Amino acid sequence: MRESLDKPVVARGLTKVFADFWNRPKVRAVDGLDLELRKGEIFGLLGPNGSGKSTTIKMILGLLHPTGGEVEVFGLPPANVRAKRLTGYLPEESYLYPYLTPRETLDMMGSIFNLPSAERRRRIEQLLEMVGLSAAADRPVGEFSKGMARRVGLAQALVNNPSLVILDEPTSGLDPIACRHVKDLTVALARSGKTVLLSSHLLADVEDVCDRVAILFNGRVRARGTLTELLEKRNIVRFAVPDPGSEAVARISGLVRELSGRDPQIDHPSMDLEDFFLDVIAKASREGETLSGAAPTCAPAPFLME
Amino acid sequence: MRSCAVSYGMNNGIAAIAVLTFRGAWRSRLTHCVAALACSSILALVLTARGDGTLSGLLKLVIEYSLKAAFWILAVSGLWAGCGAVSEDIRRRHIQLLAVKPLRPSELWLGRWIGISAVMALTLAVCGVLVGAIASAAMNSSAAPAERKHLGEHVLNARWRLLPSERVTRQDVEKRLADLKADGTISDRASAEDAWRYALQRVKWERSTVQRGESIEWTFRVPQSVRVPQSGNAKAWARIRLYSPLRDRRETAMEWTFAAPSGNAGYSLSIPPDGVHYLDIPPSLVKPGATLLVRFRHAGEAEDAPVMFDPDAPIEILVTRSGFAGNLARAVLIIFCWLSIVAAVGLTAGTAFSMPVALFVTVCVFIIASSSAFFTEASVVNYAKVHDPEKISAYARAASWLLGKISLLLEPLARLDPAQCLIDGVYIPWSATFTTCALILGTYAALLFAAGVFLLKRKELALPE
Repeated sequence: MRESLDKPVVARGLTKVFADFWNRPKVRAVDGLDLELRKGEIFGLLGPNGSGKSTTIKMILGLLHPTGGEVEVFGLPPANVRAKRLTGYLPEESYLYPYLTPRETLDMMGSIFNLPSAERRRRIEQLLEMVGLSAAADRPVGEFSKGMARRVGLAQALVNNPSLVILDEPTSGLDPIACRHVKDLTVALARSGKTVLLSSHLLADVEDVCDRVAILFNGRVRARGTLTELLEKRNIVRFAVPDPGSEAVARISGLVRELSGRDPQIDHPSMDLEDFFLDVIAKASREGETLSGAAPTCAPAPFLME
Repeated sequence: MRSCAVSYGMNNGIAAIAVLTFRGAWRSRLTHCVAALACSSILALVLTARGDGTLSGLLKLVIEYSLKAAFWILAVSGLWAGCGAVSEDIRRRHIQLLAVKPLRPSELWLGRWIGISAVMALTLAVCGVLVGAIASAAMNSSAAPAERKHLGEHVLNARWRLLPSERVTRQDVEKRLADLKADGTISDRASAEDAWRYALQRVKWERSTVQRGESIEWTFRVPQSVRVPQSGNAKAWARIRLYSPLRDRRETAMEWTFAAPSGNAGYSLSIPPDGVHYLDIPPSLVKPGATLLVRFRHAGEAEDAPVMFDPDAPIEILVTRSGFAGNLARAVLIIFCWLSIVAAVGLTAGTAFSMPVALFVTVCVFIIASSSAFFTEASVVNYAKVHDPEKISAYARAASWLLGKISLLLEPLARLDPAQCLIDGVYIPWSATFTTCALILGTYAALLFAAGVFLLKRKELALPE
């Protein structure tokens, strides 16, 4: 069986029922899920807690066995070693070995992928630089804050330069700057041809980066499509122009009222809080203030773009 | 830039997991405590043991119990580590990082096993060096020259051991069996296997007992592989094991004759008819490929009791072979193989169950397994099987059968006792060492590996709690 790089993930009728000790069905976590990821896209799995997002991801990764249906990763069963070679995974928690340093963690992961020693070292340095942990590379992960551990988790997910990146709640535990970097990185990975499957209940994260989304509830897909398809209100038109002055606004309102018979809604668009926050930090940085914590670079590791 | 890159020679997945396991153990306080405990128990034994009042007796005690203490401490920690290696990875969800990498279940199991075994090997090696240092210190102590000579010849030595040909023939046992059935000692309803075993034991005891004025003979066929050193230091001994059920152990006169194509030797001596005794014999009597005939005659007084030999090991011929250090190294290697099996048992159990359950199950299995041989030999069921088989309950019969099978399964593991060989000054051949290690690793470890991999493949590694 050969891998098919054009079909990163195909799931048909995927079902997972968790059973109790006596093997009696207890919870139907995923129910007949159909999913097809396209090469180079960012696909968002959305849903409230317990909707089946993580279970779906774990079946795609071969960590759980489907009760029904089937799933293929690059045309192979998920447990196949060749499929795993092409996949990178950031779990919802980092689950790192606390007694290893980030460098040792990445070295171990790199060696599992059979990376030659020199290549491993090159990638480790680039990844540590990317996630802003070069200075803390030789401290045990057990001493890290949740956000720092999360960065190590992200680095280990990318050590093999995967074609499919699965990110489960990637921004959980990260500060807004790091969140933005993760989102930028996600977009950059997709632009370099990688497929990204992103699971989150933070709608803003998904909205910012995803090309397509599926919304899960009780293990079933309730809505799916591109963000434009799902979010666009086709019966409303919004004009955005530099403030023309109150007189011009009154005249335009009158014209709209006369043509449509309804009062238009007029307001000043606001920045979202994330952009505002990043703006404040950027200004502070320009004034010479420095961060004492981890400071990731904005650019993805060069080997990820090769 | 600091580098932590490890050079992974063999399969990278296995090596990576082995290094991960080794690092985890190396940085764990528990490992440091176990190593310290193993070493300090050996030192404590040296300081507290009294033995039989002789330097040899004390050192035998120290060597045997040091190795046993090291084995049990490392076995418990190896079992603990084995049970936790996979099960704790699953509980703490580290496995979710490893299992999504291109790592086969077999590589994960093997890597964990090699890592745990490496830590145990290192600790055991330290214990072995400590035992060697204690032995060396004893040899250089200020004890009397005669005591040191005895120590050097009979304990800190590695000697060929020759065993006599079997004296009990099939016909002997069949005849005795018929007699025992005829006089009603063995019930007609006893199984053939039980009846045969009972008759064999009876014949052995009877043939090991020598009445006053009577004689007994043993034949030793010296294998071609036995090379007696040609230097003047070459020595040979007959080691005699006598057994007396009586309290009165006064010296009894004995006559011993050793006859070989290369010459004869005869001894008349009076010794207590109990315990282990050594007779110095000319090493020239032991020629590769030749036969050595040993004859014993009870030359005691009329009131002297019969002389009883140990029915299973009445007499051995020992010949100088090599030094203690090499023997200790081989003994430690065999003990290490046992420990690696313990780790493998824990690892496989930890794949199937959570850590507390795996520990409970494996400890129960070890208790049953280690006592199975004793219960199989000593249980009253054995007696009843031969004399009153109909009185045995179905439960006792089933338990006896099960214990017998477990004992049979584990018998190859106990065939070579390295600690006993060491304190007896018996050479542990490299061939026997490799055979034992190959048997342990190739059979027991392979079976546990297959079971562990099978369980790991079927296991869901990310089930919700």
